[in-house]
Amino acid sequence: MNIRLLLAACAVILTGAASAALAQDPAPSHASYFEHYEGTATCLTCHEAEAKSFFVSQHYQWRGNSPAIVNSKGRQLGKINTFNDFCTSPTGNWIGIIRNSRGETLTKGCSACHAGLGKLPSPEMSREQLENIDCLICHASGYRRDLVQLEGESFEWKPILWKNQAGLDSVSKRISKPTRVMCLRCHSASGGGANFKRGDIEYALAETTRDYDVHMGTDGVNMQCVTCHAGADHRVRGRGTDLAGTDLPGRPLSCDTAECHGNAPHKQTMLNTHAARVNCTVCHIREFARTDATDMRRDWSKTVYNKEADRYTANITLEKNVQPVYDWYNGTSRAQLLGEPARHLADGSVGIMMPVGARSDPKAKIFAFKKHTARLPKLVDRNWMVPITVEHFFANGEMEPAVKNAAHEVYGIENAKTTWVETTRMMGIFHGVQPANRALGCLDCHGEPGRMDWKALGYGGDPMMVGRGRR
Amino acid sequence: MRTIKPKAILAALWMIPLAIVLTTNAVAGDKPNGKELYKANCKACHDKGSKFGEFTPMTLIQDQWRGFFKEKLVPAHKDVTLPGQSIKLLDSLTPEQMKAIEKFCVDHAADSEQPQTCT
Ligand code: HEC
Ligand code: HEC
Ligand code: HEC
Ligand code: HEC
Ligand code: HEC
Ligand code: HEC
Ligand code: HEC
Repeated sequence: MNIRLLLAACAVILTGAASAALAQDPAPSHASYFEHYEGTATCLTCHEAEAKSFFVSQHYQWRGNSPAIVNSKGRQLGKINTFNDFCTSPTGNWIGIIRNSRGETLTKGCSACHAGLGKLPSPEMSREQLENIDCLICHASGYRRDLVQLEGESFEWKPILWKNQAGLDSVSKRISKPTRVMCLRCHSASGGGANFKRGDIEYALAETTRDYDVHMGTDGVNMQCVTCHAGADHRVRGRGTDLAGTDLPGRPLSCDTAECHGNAPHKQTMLNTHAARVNCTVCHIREFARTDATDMRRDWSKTVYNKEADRYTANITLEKNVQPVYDWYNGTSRAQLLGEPARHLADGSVGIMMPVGARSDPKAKIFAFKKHTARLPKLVDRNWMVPITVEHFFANGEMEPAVKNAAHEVYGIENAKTTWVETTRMMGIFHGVQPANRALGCLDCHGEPGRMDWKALGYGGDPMMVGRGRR
Repeated sequence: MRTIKPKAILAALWMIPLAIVLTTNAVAGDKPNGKELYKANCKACHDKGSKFGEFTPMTLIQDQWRGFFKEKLVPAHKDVTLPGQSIKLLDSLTPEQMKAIEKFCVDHAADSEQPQTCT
């Protein structure tokens, strides 16, 4: 805390005491801290230290230490330098407005989900970079932003109220620790639509019941995202299984640690012994995508024209109430990185992000996953995956230049020849725990047919039938 | 004072999705449809580039819309008539219809919540 912050805090305590007596509707937290909001610079006058801590976080840099990626070789990884099987890569897709033939906006770029105002994050800290941080997206209630074209070809994310200073001043003073709705601004619509990407981080969590989510239900304990995820100095806890960087490696997040439930929360011993090899989420999250359908497959080799929206897309398969698939996971993952030989799995597909672990690995447990499949380009003469510069494709439907352009941007290869390959990505499911009476029963796994593919998991057969000795 | 604030902010926030659900229901019934009424009665004079100023629900925050309907609507519009109409704007709308327009503006105001979609 600097001097200004201290003084401001004192002022608030004094004025606060007076106004609290009168106020029915308490003034927004920052009502007396500044007059007009003039961008992030306004916040920096008192919070430079917090801005500097945010600057180095995974949320801002989109790259960071990646100890959980077995093939990271010490590199700093994240969205900025990896690729995925949704919109593939921010390279060439960072920012800009692409319109259809009717002049309607189709896309604004990947920076829509970056907590910055439009500039690419730079590893070098500077005044310009600190002012590029969008504090309001995580801290102001009622904040919304939109992409605005400045003079020439440059773009900036601006509060939609940028022409209404009084409105903007009001919103920018409604400051608090992040609420669910603020985190969900990005996390619930990633991948191109409501719940497309993750499946278990739905917009419904903004306002829900205990029956839907025992942790976040407003009629229950009403936890915020940060109740579990807040770390320190703007680093968040919990990478899940398929992100590259680990923002806060020292403090992993898991249901079975002493701070939460411990590893033997049940009265029934049988359930507790299961928990040694079966992660809590497996029994406690029956299904995901319970409100909005999620993207289970994205085939970029088959393009689809949506006449109503005058827009081209990949061929996307959406599903609701999806049952997870189960696999071993020991806390680390293998990433398919750009410029590295594509690794094919047993089923022939390329594993984009795969959990590491096996029955024989004492650190591994069975986890619940969303299995996302896709078709993506790969170079013909080199065994490298190629992302897609998707933005223009949405308007013109031309896939070939979109792939060639990406090969040029990422590898410097002109006129690349590519072929389509099948891919798989395993995405851990961690949210949407329902009340205990909805947990899986013995027969959900040990019945016929059960949820577990025993052979694939490395068992000779159902371990309950086979018995301890003969497994 | 600091202890009550977050609660109040959250309470206000959670009303928004609820309010949206309520309007959608209202649309399905016989109640006046605020969105349609807005399009028919306001847009003609407040579209992009209009000389009377561009207004959509997203131009103002909820408090500003409430203030507008309470204090500014009548003085600013008492003499206006929709293009092609003979009855003055304010005489052509029932109080119930005007309430529906107000609700539409408030529910979709600049400080109502919406997730960022990336494509
Ligand atoms: C004049 C100084 C000043 C300015 C300008 C200012 N703040 Fe603060 N901020 C404070 C003080 C003082 C606190 C209270 C510190 C405390 O209680 O620990 C605070 C607290 C916060 C908190 C924690 C809120 C909570 O409920 O715990 C956040 C987040 C925050 N500010 C963000 C911002 C943002 C974003 C901006 C720019 C819009 C901003 N601040 C502008 C002085 C300021
Ligand atoms: C991606 C979301 C995100 C962005 C963007 C963000 N913050 Fe935060 N901020 C958080 C989280 C998470 C916390 C921790 C909340 C908690 O401890 O409950 C936090 C806490 C804070 C606090 C309280 C400090 C404390 O130690 O408790 C302040 C002040 C703050 N942020 C200011 C800022 C400022 C200023 C900016 C812009 C430069 C900013 N934040 C941008 C997520 C964000
Ligand atoms: C501006 C959009 C945005 C907002 C707002 C946002 N996030 Fe994120 N978050 C992201 C993106 C993008 C990533 C992935 C970054 C990467 O992998 O390089 C991410 C990653 C994460 C991760 C994984 C971190 C890791 O170690 O890999 C967690 C956990 C997370 N966010 C939680 C939150 C929480 C909690 C909030 C609310 C305080 C929040 N996010 C707000 C965009 C956002
Ligand atoms: C009850 C605790 C809890 C709450 C509340 C919670 N999470 Fe999580 N979250 C987890 C756990 C546990 C993981 C897995 C962490 C790990 O294995 O690294 C996780 C993982 C994540 C990840 C990493 C990617 C993924 O999906 O695996 C993101 C992003 C995330 N959570 C966002 C959120 C957001 C946004 C909210 C609020 C809507 C939220 N979480 C609320 C416990 C929680
Ligand atoms: C093999 C399936 C299974 C696994 C693994 C499992 N649970 Fe359970 N859990 C259940 C069932 C079934 C119930 C309901 C049983 C009952 O009411 O006694 C339950 C009940 C609970 C309850 C409510 C307890 C109560 O007394 O009301 C909590 C909390 C809980 N589990 C947490 C966990 C955590 C944390 C883990 C991981 C360490 C975990 N569970 C792993 C099946 C499982
Ligand atoms: C989520 C799926 C799941 C559920 C639900 C489940 N089991 Fe199991 N069960 C397993 C797995 C996986 C193993 C193998 C664990 C191992 O490798 O140690 C197992 C092993 C067993 C075994 C062999 C025990 C041993 O120690 O070798 C028995 C008996 C058994 N389960 C009974 C039950 C009963 C009774 C219930 C209901 C209370 C139940 N299971 C619920 C997945 C499940
Ligand atoms: C026939 C044209 C016309 C129609 C129809 C019309 N307005 Fe207006 N509006 C005006 C004029 C003229 C002004 C005053 C402009 C000025 O003083 O600069 C105005 C001003 C406004 C203002 C700004 C008020 C202020 O002083 O801040 C708002 C907001 C507004 N109108 C909303 C509406 C809404 C909502 C409707 C539909 C119920 C509507 N208007 C219908 C002509 C119209």
